[in-house]
Amino acid sequence: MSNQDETIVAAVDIGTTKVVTVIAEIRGKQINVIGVGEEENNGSQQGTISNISEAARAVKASVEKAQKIAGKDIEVNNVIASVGGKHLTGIKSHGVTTLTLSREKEITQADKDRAIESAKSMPLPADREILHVIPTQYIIDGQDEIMDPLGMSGVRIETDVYIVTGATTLVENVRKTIKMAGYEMDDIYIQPIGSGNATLYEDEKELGVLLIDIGGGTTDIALYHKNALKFIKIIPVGGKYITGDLVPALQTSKSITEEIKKQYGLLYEEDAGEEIIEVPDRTRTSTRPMFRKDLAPYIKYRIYELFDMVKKELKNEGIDKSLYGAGIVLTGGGAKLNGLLRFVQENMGGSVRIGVPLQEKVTGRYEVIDKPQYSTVVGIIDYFVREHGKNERLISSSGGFLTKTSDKIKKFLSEFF
Amino acid sequence: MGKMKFELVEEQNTIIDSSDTLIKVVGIGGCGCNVINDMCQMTMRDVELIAINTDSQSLNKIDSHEKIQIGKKVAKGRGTGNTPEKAQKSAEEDRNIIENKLRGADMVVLVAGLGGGTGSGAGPVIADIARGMDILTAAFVITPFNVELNEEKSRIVRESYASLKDKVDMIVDIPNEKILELFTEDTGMDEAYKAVNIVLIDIMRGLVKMISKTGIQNIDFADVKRAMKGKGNSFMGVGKASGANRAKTAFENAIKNRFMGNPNLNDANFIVINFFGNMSVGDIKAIEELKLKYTGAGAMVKFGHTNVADMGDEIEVTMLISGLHDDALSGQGGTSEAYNQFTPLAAASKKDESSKPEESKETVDKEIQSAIEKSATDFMEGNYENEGLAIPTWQRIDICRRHLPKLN
Ligand SMILES: Nc1ncnc2c1ncn2[C@@H]1O[C@H](COP(=O)(O)OP(=O)(O)OP(=O)(O)O)[C@@H](O)[C@H]1O
Ligand SMILES: Nc1nc2c(ncn2[C@@H]2O[C@H](COP(=O)(O)OP(=O)(O)O)[C@@H](O)[C@H]2O)c(=O)[nH]1
Ligand SMILES: [Mg+2]
Ligand SMILES: [Mg+2]
Repeated sequence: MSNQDETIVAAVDIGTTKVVTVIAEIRGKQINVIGVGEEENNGSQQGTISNISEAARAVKASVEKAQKIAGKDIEVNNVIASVGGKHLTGIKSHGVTTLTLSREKEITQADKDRAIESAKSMPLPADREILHVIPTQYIIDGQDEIMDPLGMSGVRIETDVYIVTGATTLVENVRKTIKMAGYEMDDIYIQPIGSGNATLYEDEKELGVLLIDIGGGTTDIALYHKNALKFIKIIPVGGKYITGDLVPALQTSKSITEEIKKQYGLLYEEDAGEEIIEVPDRTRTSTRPMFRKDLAPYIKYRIYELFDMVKKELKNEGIDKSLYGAGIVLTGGGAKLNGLLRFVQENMGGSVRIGVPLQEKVTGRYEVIDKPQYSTVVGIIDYFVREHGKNERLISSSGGFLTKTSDKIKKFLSEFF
Repeated sequence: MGKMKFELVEEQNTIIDSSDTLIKVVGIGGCGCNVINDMCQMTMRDVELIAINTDSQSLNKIDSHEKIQIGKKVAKGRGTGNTPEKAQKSAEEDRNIIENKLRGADMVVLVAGLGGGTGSGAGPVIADIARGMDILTAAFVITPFNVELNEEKSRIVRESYASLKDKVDMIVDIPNEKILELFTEDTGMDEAYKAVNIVLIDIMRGLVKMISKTGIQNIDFADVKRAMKGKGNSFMGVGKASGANRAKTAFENAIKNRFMGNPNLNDANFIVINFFGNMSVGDIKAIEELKLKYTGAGAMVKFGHTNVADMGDEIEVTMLISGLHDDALSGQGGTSEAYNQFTPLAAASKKDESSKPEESKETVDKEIQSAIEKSATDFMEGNYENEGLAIPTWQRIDICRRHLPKLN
């Protein structure tokens, strides 16, 4: 793959509340953002597409907005996309292969592939498909914790992998949506991998870090340890439920409630003092005063419940704090909730920070995508660019997308610069 | 004793169309739906009637504006076999539908017979939905004849009563047993039921009339709301009389409510009294005298009278009294007597009232914490398939709901 060349990638994150498209030039491993477009999405629920034509409309609109900013000569035909929802699950698997041709020989890509193939050959229900196969380590003749065995010598190669699968119909719905919007989907990545890739530092991933992406429809957990993804879990609870919890309290429309939540929502009463806010009625003809602090109880019980779920999922999987020594990173639009950082610090301990796409990965319009709700979209570009080779699912596919697209794009670019 | 604050609402000469106050009467379970049906037949005005049941056959027989069959999954249209838990699930399952039907109401009046399944189990959930929507809510409950009672049924009555009481602004209890005194041995059960239904409908009519009687209106929704929202128990009485001294007699009849016992007015903090009829100068004088008689009470009293031409010689009075202590209704009240042999309702409700201030903040926090943890576990173990997840956490979990700020 010729990723030294300047190529252009368009990435589409189909979230429960919005579709966001980022168009970026790839220079080496740098992501130079040249266009960002966002559109409200009413075609998804809890992370999965429930209305293809509405989702397709949102995809098309967001891509066109991004195109407009990138410049009218940028044409998008192919995109990479994200998939979300609680149907996404991961399992650990193990593969083995032996080098029989000669006694002591260097391990080649083909040998690696065979080990991975063996790990992949596990029974899979007909209604599920493999989305990612992520090696967590290679073991060569009994020596473990090897990340890249290429060029090493050995006879027996084993590999531990984390395999992420999704419900075929729901993954297919993403393809159909992209197609209906008029684009070709070149690759698809699960949302928590995107969010993790955009927001996490390498040393955090090495030491162990827990990523929590609180979106509108789902809360995604991803655990990284020793530089590899070890666990994902999607909990179908997100910011939309918090808004829903406030509706009966505020007695006004959903959209007004959403605005109030974003502007004034909080977890700790004391942070509001005696501040009084004005709540507009459904028709926005009059307002009603209330203490801002009274929003807190309605929100906090949902957050308590959500984090109890997070803790239980971790416990179920036998994940304790030692596996995320670098702490917790909160991202997704829900991470902006006032007081959440403090709550997670008090409730789960360790160091906690809010994650946005890392500046070191992005040039160009960084100030536009420097927000928790854009982690996923930036991260899938980053994954595509940097860790493409590690997603072993793609080994057998042609992988010619970058060059294919770039030829066309380069033509436009040459007219530009 | 505090000085009485007195307010006389003057008769107004304008006709006020009060259709802007929407009252929805919701009958729940067999008994509740029967009452709704009777209301339809007796043309209850100015309200919207909604029948809710798990049993589809019984719903089919009902004549009402709206019908909701709840728990199609849980109860499969066949009722609950006297299991309130099943009814509770049924109502939870259809929370959204119920919410949609209640939307727009200024006041909801729930009607249910306690001691069966649907009324007892779904009633508190529906009350809760109404409360979540911030709708003023009253419950009219019918409690079983003594002969119907056994340990289990008494428990159901007790628990559902306590649960309802906790969620509504006012609860009015009409014991079937009390009507027996009026009948002979060979009165049929259906006839007796019907008689109780009529008593209930009468009292409810009084309440509705007080709020939404088109005509000369002098007690309004705000007064009723204020009375119902007040602390403590409420009392509702309706009395009628004709002939000499009819205003005074009607008033006394309302107070000596044979179903609810005699309220001890010294305890009251808000009293709304409205007279209906073809009022004469004599009646107005009598009412003035009654007002004077209550000068000693430490309550806010609001008198009103509405001229109703077609009532002939009859005067009717409706009163709503709030702020009563639990024992203010003892003596002749059906509430405390009928279930004495098991556990009196009044005692059950007293317990939960007095236990509240004793709870320390820490205890409450712990309780909340463990309730939420349990809920999180349940959802996780069900792989988050359980539909309830969309329902606000604070609404689903009882103790959370009890620790929310009062808005408005
Ligand atoms: N300041 C804020 N306080 C609280 N919540 C916020 C704030 N800003 C945004 N949110 C919430 O974040 C959510 C949207 O986040 P995001 O854009 O990451 O979700 P999404 O990607 O569309 O959904 P998902 O990832 O679940 O499919 C909305 O529910 C929104 O209300
Ligand atoms: N007054 C009166 N009481 C009733 C009527 N129907 C049932 N009841 C009483 O209500 C109690 C509960 O019964 P029911 O409403 O049929 O149970 P549910 O449908 O499971 O809630 C019974 O034990 C009766 O005492 C009725 O039409 N009128
Ligand atoms: Mg998202
Ligand atoms: Mg998400």
